[in-house]
Amino acid sequence: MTEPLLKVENLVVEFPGRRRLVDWLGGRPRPVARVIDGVDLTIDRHETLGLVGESGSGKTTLGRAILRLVRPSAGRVLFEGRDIARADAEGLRGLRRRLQMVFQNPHSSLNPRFTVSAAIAEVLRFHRIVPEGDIGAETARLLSLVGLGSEMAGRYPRSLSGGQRQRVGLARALAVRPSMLVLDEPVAALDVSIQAQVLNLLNDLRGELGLTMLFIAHEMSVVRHMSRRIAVMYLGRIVETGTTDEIFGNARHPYTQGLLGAVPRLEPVKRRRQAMLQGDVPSPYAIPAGCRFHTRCPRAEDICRRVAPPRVRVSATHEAECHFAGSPSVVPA
Amino acid sequence: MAPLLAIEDLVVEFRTRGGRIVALNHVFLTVQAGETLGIVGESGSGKSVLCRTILRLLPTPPAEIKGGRVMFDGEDLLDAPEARLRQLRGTALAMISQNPATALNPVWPIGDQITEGLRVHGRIGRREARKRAVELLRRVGIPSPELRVDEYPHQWSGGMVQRAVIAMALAGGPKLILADEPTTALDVTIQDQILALLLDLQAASGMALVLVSHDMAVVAETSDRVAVMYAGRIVELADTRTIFREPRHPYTVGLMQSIPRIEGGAGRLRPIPGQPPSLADLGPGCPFQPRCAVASPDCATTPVAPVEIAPGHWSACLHPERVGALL
Repeated sequence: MTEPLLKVENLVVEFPGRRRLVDWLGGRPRPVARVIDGVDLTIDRHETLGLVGESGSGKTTLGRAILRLVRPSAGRVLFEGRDIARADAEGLRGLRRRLQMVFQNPHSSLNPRFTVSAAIAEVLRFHRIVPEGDIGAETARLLSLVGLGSEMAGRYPRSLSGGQRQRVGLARALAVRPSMLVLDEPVAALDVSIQAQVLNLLNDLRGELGLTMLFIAHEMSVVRHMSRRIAVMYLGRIVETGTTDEIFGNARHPYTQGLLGAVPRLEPVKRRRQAMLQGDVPSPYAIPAGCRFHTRCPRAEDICRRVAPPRVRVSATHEAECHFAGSPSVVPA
Repeated sequence: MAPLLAIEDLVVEFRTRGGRIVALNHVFLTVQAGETLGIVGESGSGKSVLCRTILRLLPTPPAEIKGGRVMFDGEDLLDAPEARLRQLRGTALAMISQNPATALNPVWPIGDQITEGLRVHGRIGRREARKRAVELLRRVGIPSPELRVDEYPHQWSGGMVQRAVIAMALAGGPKLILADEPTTALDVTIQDQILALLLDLQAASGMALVLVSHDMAVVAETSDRVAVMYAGRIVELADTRTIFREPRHPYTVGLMQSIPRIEGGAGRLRPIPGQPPSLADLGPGCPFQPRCAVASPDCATTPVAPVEIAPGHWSACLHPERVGALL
């Protein structure tokens, strides 16, 4: 068994909230949001792991913590065996040559005053990827790699479509020749017909370049299409992981089941069902006691309100944090 | 029976620095009482402009209504005076917009906003209005509404605010609700709740619903009929089953094939090549022709208009018989 490329151990990220006057008078401490609350995760080399969850689940923060764009409060992030959480500036620079992030919003992640080629050349220069004289040729190679013609090189972001901008973002990430990409909702801002183009491109590049990917998205169908293995996140914890077939065919966590049940189907059949999951995701400032999902869970029992569920092993590749994960189909899907 | 809403040959242009663009190009539609009509299309297809034109909320200029009629319950909204429009918007005609966060005034209690229309039109007093607000919030599934009616939008989650916006739309007892991407800003579990709520309310009250969405699956699950928009035109219109089982416009097929299925399978996605067109430089022919797999040379030059190819099934394609081969 080879070492996984990325290993996250008991990661915790906290954001301090505002201490109000009443807190201060009442002697209460500054409130703290536990956005990541003890996450364990591994990704093997050349694997794509899909990470799904609703807004507020912590999936974006987890992606950012892996690149140390936010500093974890506790835990370890081992990339190629080295702890990112404790890396110094030199170590981080080396790390970001191996591990890159692609952001959701291609409008805000590109500098509006840089042409496409200047945006890519900047990365090549900063990380000294190729000698100065080769930057032009390398930029052209990267553009063609992401399916952009050379006529795009002199254009500014404002004259590009969303899909083209996302390709430029991808070219920038690939410029350092990383072994792994963290993709945070890479197609969420794109029109439907353009999403498919970018998803196909990502699939092709993964094969050609042997990339490892953490693919973060809220859309179950997109994650299913892109991933071999899936992790489902709820309120700062990974509540279920399994192969794509296990998650879609045999989900054991009621949250995963509810998430799957909520996705509208592309079938012309008028819905009669009621929504499976009621209510909203609770605040990370006040995570419910016991099982954090019990406030929305259709089958919560007394134990769920008192005791945090263990991680139940369903198969060698399938785990769920639910008291009842051992018994299949707790809720009709 | 006459339809509740009938849009005939509607043309809307925008004046921009780059010249005139045609945002709505001879759009036609009908909505029957009690019916749900889904409108799908990508950004720039004109679906939001259409909703705003119906409600006469489009700023003119830069927009200009060049022609057509919008008949609502026997009355042409394009001819109606502003006072009449204002009255209609608070009563028979209501809109739910995409972004619940901007739909409410942040410094005003939610309950007051929900019944503002009723009070402005002088139909009820303050105490009665508060009672109505509580009732409406209960109808849209807000727990303990009598305790929450005086709260402010920032105290509520996005899903709850969208419920409040729906309550506001219901306040005047509408015959038609225009819902412009009502669930796009929401998480999928909250979308599920809101769609269930809208369909329940519709079944209970018999109102008609126009549901605008970029998501084919949302429309598939909710609509009786579907209109597909592209580049400011209706390119296909039929009952929901026909749109999904026997589409006769290549763009409709492209939209369905480019989406990954929740059921899995399919392998490689089949995207629509190229980009949506810029409305500023459309040729004389079919706007979809540069991206179309079954286009012939005449598609670029021959103007197309929707044709009724089967009863109730309209397609704006010169070669609808070729579309079956794409499926």
